[in-house]
Amino acid sequence: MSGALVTVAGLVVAVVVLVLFARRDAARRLATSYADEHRRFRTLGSKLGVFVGAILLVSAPIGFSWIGIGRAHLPAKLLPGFPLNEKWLFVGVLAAIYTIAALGMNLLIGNTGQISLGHSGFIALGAYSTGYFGVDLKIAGHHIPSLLWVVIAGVLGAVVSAAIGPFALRLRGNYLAMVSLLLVFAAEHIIKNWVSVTGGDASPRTDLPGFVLTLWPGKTLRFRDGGDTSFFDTFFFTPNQGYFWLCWGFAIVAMIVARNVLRSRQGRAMMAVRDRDLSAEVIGVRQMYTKTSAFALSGAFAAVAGALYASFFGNVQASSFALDFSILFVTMIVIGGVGSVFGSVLGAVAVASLFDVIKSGQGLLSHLPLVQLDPAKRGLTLSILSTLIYGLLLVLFLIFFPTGLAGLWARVRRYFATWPFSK
Amino acid sequence: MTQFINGLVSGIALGGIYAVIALGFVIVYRATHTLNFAQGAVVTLGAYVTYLLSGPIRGLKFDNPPSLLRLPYWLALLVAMVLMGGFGWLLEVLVIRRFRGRPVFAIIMATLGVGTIMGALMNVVWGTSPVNLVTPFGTKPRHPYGGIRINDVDIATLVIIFAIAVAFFFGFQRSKLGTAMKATAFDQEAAIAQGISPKVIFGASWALSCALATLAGVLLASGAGSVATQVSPGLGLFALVGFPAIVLGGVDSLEGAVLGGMIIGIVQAISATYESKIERYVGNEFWKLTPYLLMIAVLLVRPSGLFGTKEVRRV
Repeated sequence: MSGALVTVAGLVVAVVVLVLFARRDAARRLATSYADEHRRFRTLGSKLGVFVGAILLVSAPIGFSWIGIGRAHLPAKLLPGFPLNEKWLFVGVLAAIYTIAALGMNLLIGNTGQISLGHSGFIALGAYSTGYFGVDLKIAGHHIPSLLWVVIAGVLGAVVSAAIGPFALRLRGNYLAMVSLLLVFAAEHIIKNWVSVTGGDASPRTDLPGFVLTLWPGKTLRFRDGGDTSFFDTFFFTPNQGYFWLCWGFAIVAMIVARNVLRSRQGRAMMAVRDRDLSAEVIGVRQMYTKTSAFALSGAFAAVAGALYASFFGNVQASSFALDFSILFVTMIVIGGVGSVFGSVLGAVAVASLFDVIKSGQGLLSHLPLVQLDPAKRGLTLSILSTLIYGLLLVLFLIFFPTGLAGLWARVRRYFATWPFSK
Repeated sequence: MTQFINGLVSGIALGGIYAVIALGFVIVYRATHTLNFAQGAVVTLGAYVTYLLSGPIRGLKFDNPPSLLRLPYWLALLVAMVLMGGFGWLLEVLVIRRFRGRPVFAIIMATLGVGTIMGALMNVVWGTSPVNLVTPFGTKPRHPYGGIRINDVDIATLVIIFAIAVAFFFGFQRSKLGTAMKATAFDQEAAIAQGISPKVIFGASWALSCALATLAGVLLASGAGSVATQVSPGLGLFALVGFPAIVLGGVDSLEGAVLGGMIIGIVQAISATYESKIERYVGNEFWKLTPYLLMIAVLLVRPSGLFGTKEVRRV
């Protein structure tokens, strides 16, 4: 109980600090020059926020015992609520993977305005490419390094996705959304028929590779296979802990890439195309290049996410890459905030944690009518309940909070920043 | 040759169903400039509601998927269409109406969300295992000539689709509501000036679209076109084929929708018929993909479809 109290107290302190920063930074949010507007972090508050976030991310899997490094097999419980236990670490890994894919989708849909539902196809591409490049392919009897197959997945995703760019030149809005359905079905078709790589649609491919990082010759970190692994034989971590750092590392790189793209000429070109592509072309934005590169970027993000997904789970089922999976990412960017990098992260974390949040409340839920805790039986099982909630959130956010959680956050910040005069 | 004719027959039945779904899409598109990505769920729900009204077992025993009444098939279909029409109207009032003037993106996402919610709710009530409709159709195909097979349900489908098309184009389109719909699609403000309420028109369009989707779902689940023989969540995938159909015909053309649906259905059934011959080159179950490939080809060659009006874009 005291743990929960400390966590609540921590949250209260965090909110107070944020409010103080919001007031302090309010004036600095006014951009007075172009250079001002294109800064990576506009205020001290956002800089500090990122710093604190990074510390929390690094320490989440192990608590704060990293200060006293050397103790074998962390975690120790220094701060209540931390470290995340295995279940929440798993959710955290999923959130990181979803973040990467959601960022890609948000760049394409939110910033460039190209409605494509083919995201699940590119995630599948990334996932199965790890099967080929990580397991099937051997160069001189050796597997290629893990980092390389993640990069290859990204490049493949970019190339295949860029091929859709020219179609988007002729098709807009509703038409593009309809055409993108082809991507989902084509991906299903290919998975079903290219059995040597994908294992077909009946049986999942179960031998997808765990991530192996070679630090120097003779010293390798195995993130999944062989249970716990260690730095210097003193610092052990479990697969979930390892993947948490790994995937959030990739996610942070993805966030930086997305943020930098958005504040560059390319990003402004994308937004101009979103707002009105003909007008954008008139003022000198190359539509072909902008759309194609947006597709490429989005496909690359999705494929990298797919590669990490495959590597984390070790097996992937063809049926998981259906249209529903794309809709899941749509839900993320809508809940988080369309066109916002921060929003993609918020949405991904919200969607990834939803199922386990529901599950941890199942004791309460079981008193409700219709709720069925046995997943094999018909009724309102927890997974259906979470699907239902995704759908409801998607529609409700679109109707009531079209700017998503990121927009809500901006609103809260603005309220406190201008407090006695805010309405 | 017999193989070809068999394919053609089921293709025409399948095409008829696609035509009905596509007609629903076009009606909604003309009224609200919205594509309903939840149509798959609507088709499935329509079939389930029909099952609810005509299922083999009476009562709400929780072990069985619930079916309340044992109405005769045709009566159940009619009641389901009316109920689903009301559902469509409600959907327009509750959700779609709030998105007027919002970007295309928001509406598409909203309909996807509605589809997700409907899918989850159907899953709660009826589960994922398919259920059988009690149909008056014979299960054995007729053999009118040589090796040619014709199923009862295909004949019934053709008759119904033909009747619907005639009633729609020569009855409804000339009725007061139909004319008002046309007027609203043509020029909304002028229509308002004539005393037409766009709210009613939008609601009625969605109602009509959902009722047609119900008809399509029930016929599909009864075995028309031989692609599905039961009511299951998978029915929704066939509704999405309505998109290629309207693209082929032109998204705002009612005649185009019917023709487009027919062409898509026939192409799909023929490619399914010759599956064994082309499988080596294009893979297993290629017929599921043909409508979409056809759609891409049409969009690239003639983006406005066969009968659609050309989109005019101003800077």
